[in-house]
Amino acid sequence: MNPDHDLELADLQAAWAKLDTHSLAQLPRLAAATDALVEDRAQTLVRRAMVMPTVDMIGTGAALVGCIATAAHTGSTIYFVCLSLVIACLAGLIVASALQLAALAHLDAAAPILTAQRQLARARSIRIFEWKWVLLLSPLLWTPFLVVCVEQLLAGLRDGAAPGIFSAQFVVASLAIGAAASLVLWWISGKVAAHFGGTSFVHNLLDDLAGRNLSKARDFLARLDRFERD
Amino acid sequence: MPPTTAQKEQFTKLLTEHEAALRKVVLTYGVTHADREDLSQEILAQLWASFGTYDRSRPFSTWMYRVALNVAISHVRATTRRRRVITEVDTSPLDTTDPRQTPNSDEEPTTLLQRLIAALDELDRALLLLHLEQRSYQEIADVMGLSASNVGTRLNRIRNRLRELAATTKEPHKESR
Repeated sequence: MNPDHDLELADLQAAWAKLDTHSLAQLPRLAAATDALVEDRAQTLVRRAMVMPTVDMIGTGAALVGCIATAAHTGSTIYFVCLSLVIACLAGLIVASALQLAALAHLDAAAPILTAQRQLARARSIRIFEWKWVLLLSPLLWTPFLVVCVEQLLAGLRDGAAPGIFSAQFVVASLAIGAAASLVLWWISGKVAAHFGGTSFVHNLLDDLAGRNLSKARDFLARLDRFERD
Repeated sequence: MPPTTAQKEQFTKLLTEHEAALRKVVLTYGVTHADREDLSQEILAQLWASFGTYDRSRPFSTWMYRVALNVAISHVRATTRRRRVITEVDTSPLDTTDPRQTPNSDEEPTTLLQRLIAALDELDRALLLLHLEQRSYQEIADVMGLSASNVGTRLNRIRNRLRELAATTKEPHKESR
């Protein structure tokens, strides 16, 4: 292939044929590889895709159990209502994660590329969307958790001290502070993430919060649609 | 259900027959030596995991390309996210040189080819790879999930893009000699 000439795919094919002779990608020895695969140790496309929804579901499940246990011990109506809302949100997230896992479990890696990639990209978009709102709303969740935990602690120390030691005004003020913290978190994620380098976990979280990861996932979905349509 | 010895033998036989094609997929999508090792392992694992769904009445190559390219594209996307590498405008040559091997005069066209392939996005790379493997438009369409006419149109666009890229990489290519 001479770059000075007008490039044709036939020229590329000639270079491609040569490439095979010095192809240096080392596939593991087939026999050894299949033995390892039979033992089911290797990573697969589907397993990789299922890791994060599984982690989400376990984390959300733990939070749900914590919330239910806390709600069962609170004697205050307002805290109970707050926790019930949190429980409803967490239950919704668990259902969403379960649906994602079910969809991924049925993912056919041998499906046409556009079909399989679209399915993977959709699952990723949904997960990032959920994470973005969980992260943004998490400051709000601290108030009912903190209040009930302190109540229970005090109740353990001194009979009759709880429940209801915090006034409704305190709870409303705490929720307002939580809402303000969410806004600050969102603003910071947009400003600060660009200055983080490397592969930091924090950077990724900030990108989730700021919506950059969601945009990228949706861009890929749009690209798949364009690829099929054009 | 654990795989039978016959299944394993058939799988190994089919893989051996198509090993060169799989190597090309790995070479096209893997960046470094370690990356290629990981990718080849992932492709083999997924091929084996999906082998039960392979319909013996249809060509093995179509099924194999679908699995291998799906894994490779997902691998590239995951790796890019981890490394935060912007691949869209990356025209740097792929690391295809084994340090144990001495350079030879045939390296130049293949290096340029790899430079050009690396400049394409994951989907166009798949299309070009299948075309370079001399697959028919219909088979490429089956693998990609496109219509055969769409494959022709897209390949034409890729050719135009590669021409542009070859023209832009010509100067640095000469300077490096």
